[in-house]
Formats: sequence, structure tokens, C-alpha cells
Amino acid sequence: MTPDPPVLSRRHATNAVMSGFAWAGTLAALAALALILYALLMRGIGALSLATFTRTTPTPGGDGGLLNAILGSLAMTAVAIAAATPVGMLAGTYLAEYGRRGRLAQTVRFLNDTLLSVPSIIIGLFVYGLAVQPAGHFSGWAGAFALALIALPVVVRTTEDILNLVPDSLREAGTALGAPRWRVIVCIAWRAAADGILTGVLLAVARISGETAPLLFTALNNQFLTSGLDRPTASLPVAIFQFAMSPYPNWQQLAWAGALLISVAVLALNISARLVARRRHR
Amino acid sequence: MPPNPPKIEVHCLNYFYGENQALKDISILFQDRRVTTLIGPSGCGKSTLLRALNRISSSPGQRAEGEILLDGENILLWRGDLTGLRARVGMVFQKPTPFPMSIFDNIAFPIKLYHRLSRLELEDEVERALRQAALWDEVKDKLRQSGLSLSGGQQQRLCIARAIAIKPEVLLLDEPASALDPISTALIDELVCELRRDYCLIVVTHNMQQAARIGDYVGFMYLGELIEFGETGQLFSNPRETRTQDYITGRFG
Repeated sequence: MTPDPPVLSRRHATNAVMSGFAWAGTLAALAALALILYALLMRGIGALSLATFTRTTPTPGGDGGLLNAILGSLAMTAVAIAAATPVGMLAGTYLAEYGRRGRLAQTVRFLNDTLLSVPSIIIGLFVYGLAVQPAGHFSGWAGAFALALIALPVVVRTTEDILNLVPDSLREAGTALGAPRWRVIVCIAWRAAADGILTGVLLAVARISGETAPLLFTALNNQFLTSGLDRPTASLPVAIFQFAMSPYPNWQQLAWAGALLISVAVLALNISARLVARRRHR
Repeated sequence: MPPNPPKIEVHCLNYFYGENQALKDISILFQDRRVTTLIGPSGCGKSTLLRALNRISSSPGQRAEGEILLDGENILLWRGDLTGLRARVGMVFQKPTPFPMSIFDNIAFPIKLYHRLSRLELEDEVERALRQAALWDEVKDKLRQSGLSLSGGQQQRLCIARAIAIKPEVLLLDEPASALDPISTALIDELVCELRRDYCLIVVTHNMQQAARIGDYVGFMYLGELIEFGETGQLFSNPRETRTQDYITGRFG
């Protein structure tokens, strides 16, 4: 049946209007991102120099760089991910392989989703009460602990989601060969899910490497290079926060350099996560 | 054809999914070194019967009554670890299920579950299994490639090789060719006829031509009951039951 002309024209008009809204929304979102990147590149590249990577925090007006902040961020992020990945993977495995729709699993899943959406400042305050106050001082370990608590629910969630995508027929095939449950999970399900879980871990790294609030109450900051994490530790986000608020031009320059570094790092992590995720569909 | 000694005897088997009775008073003998096919419309219980034979689906809410004797021993009474049962009764599924690892590791996986072998011995065993599954010539130069890189028919022969790598006594095949093209199906059929020399084979199939080609014996199931069981030639040419007659002539199902 041929549609009447008024029906068709109305349909075309609706289509044009809705497409227009969709395009406008996309452009607005992209424009915001482009403006941020443009400002960062313009102001940040000029502020970058070799000293940024080799020198520690300068005095106001003096020479220096971000070495202590870069190393502090790397160390705390590494410790946090090293702690959150095994715990998160095991918890996610419990949810997907053992708990499934049981009551305990439902509870754990709900609590994990809650943890996922807790404001990060609350995590910082929690770790302050748990680790900083009893110890009597701020420390890099406390900062790493707070970051681990933020990464943990991300890893739990991705591990469970990815394991749920592994078809049960694969597990059944393993069981039919006489493989015990743990072996089916470790050798078959984890292997099938490996790229997806790696993607989740990379996204968790990207998430915590930009966190500022939880570090303010835990690692605080440090103008000097420290040899371990048991003293207050500098990090890029907190350095940016402090330098950007300062009245000294050379500190403000360093804030731009730090902002550029961290954005490029997060962008690179997101791109590699996408590349890994794509690999699994080959 | 003289009858062989029975490998598996099923006596008065009733099987329940919760309140739902999937198998009703099934009694059937599966002879050693023979191919027995199970045919019947979807939902008739043939897959349930097959899956009961190595107890792959013993999740809560499922319950079996009766006896399944493997060499005279009732496997329904086995408690706890069923590894020993699965080592003797292998299974291949409808959809090929290669593991996400290399072709070599797919075959080595079950072997390593049961034996500690040197690298050379392991390679020998893998080659033996792949040869027996008529896959060796096609994959011998790419054993390191992913099992997922093979075609559907090759993947299914890989799964058969994986199942026979641990030398089971019984091989259960659940519609092994229903997802394959006619050429791959013919290869699987040939393979089943080869394996018949060493194994007790039980094949569930929707395809009556396939049942007629490969089966020594055939069981026709309908609504959870075994309606008729007999030698393949006799059952297809001269069925005793009208329901069998109707099914094999395509009047229902």
C-alpha cells in the first residue's frame, strides 16, 4: 500500500528535526572536548620542557619540574592496581561463576555497585580515618589504598560482565572432559575473558590516575622526591590543584604541563583499552 | 549382525526437571563397539537421556530415578567427584566448542588432566588423537594457531579429537552435525563409522538419513518415552509402531 502524501511528509519532517537534534547534541559534546584539548595543547606544550620530567617542585619563581608528582602518581597507581586487580578479579569470578543469582551474590553485587558510585571524596575521608589518623601522618600507602578502593568495583564489575559473556557451552565442554570446576574457570573461562578483563583494568587505571579528592586526605603532597610511600607523596592531580590555585606564574605554568601530561596519559590508556577490546573480536 | 556385550544398560529411568518429567520409564541397552542413534522430535527427551549418561546436567532441581549401569556399575549412585565418569564417557556437543587456545593446547588440555607426560609423549598423544579424528593432515602445519581459526566442520572434528584424546570407552554425540554443511556432515559420519571399531557410540540426531547411514541400532523417542528400539534396517523399513511409522515418513515431528 502506498502511504498518503501527508503521512510521508510528516514522517520526513520528524526525521529532519530529530536528526538535527542528534547532530547538535553530538557537536556540543565534541566541541567541549575539542576546546579542552585545544587549551591544554596551547598552554601545556609551551610549559613542557626537559626539566618538567627531571626536576622536582620549584620554589615560587625558581626553576623546577614535576618529577616528584609524576613518580608519586605512577607509584600509587601501580600499587593500587596491583592490589585491586587480584581482589576484583576473584570477586567478579565469584559473582559470575559461583554466586550467580544467589542471595549473597545479589547482595555483593548491590554493594559493589554502591561502592562504584560513592563520591571519591568520601573514599578519601574513609581512608583518612582508617589509615592516616591512626598513623599520625599522611602517606603514599594511604593514597594508594584510597585509589585501590576506587579501582576495585570497576574491576569486579568488568570481570563479572565479561565472564557472563563466555558461553556456558564452553564450561560444559570442559566439565564433560572431566576438568574440575576451578580448572574450567582458570584455563577456559578466564582465558576466554582475558582481553575483556585487561580492558577493564586499563579503564580502571585511567579512572584513578586522574583522581584528586581521595588523595587530598591521604597522600596529601610533597615538594620533594621521597624514596618510599610511607611519607606524604606528591601526585599529578594534587600538584595541578595546588599549582593552579597559586599566584606564582611558574607554578601555573607547571599546572598546565601536568594537565597536558595526565590528559595524554588517560587518552593513551583509553585508546589501548579499545585496541585490546577490538582484539577479542578477531 | 551378532550382538555385542552391553556397555551401558539403562533400566526404568525416570528423569525430572523440578515437577516436569522429561524421561518416562526408559529401558535401553547400548552395545559396545556399535553405533546407536536416538531420533525423535524436539523436546522428546533424547538429549536429556544422552546428558544423563555422563551426568553432565546434575544441577539442583533435577532428579533421576532408576538405574544407569556402566559395565554393571550404577553411575547414578556415584557421589562427589565425577571426573572418573567423564574420563570413561566422553561427550561432543551440537555447537562446536573449541577452547580459546591453540589447536595443540585444545587436545593437550584433557590429556594433562589425567597424565603427566614429557613434551614428546604429549606431542605423540596429540598427533594420535588428531589422526584418529581425521584432522591431522589439515592442521599439522598450524598446531600453534587458535582453535577458533578453524572452519565449523574442522572445529567439530577438533572437539571429537579432544574427547577421544583421553581414550574414553563411550562417546556421546549430541547432534554433532546439525550446525554443519553437507560435506562436513559426511566427514563426521565417516569418522563415526571409523570410531565404531574402538568405542561405544551414542548419537542424538534430528536427521533420519544420518541415523540410517551411521547407526547399527536406532531408538525412536517421543514425549519422554522410548517408543521403539531395534536394528536400524528393521526399524526404518518395517517399524512395529504406527507412531514410529508416522515420524519416519514425515507425518509429524
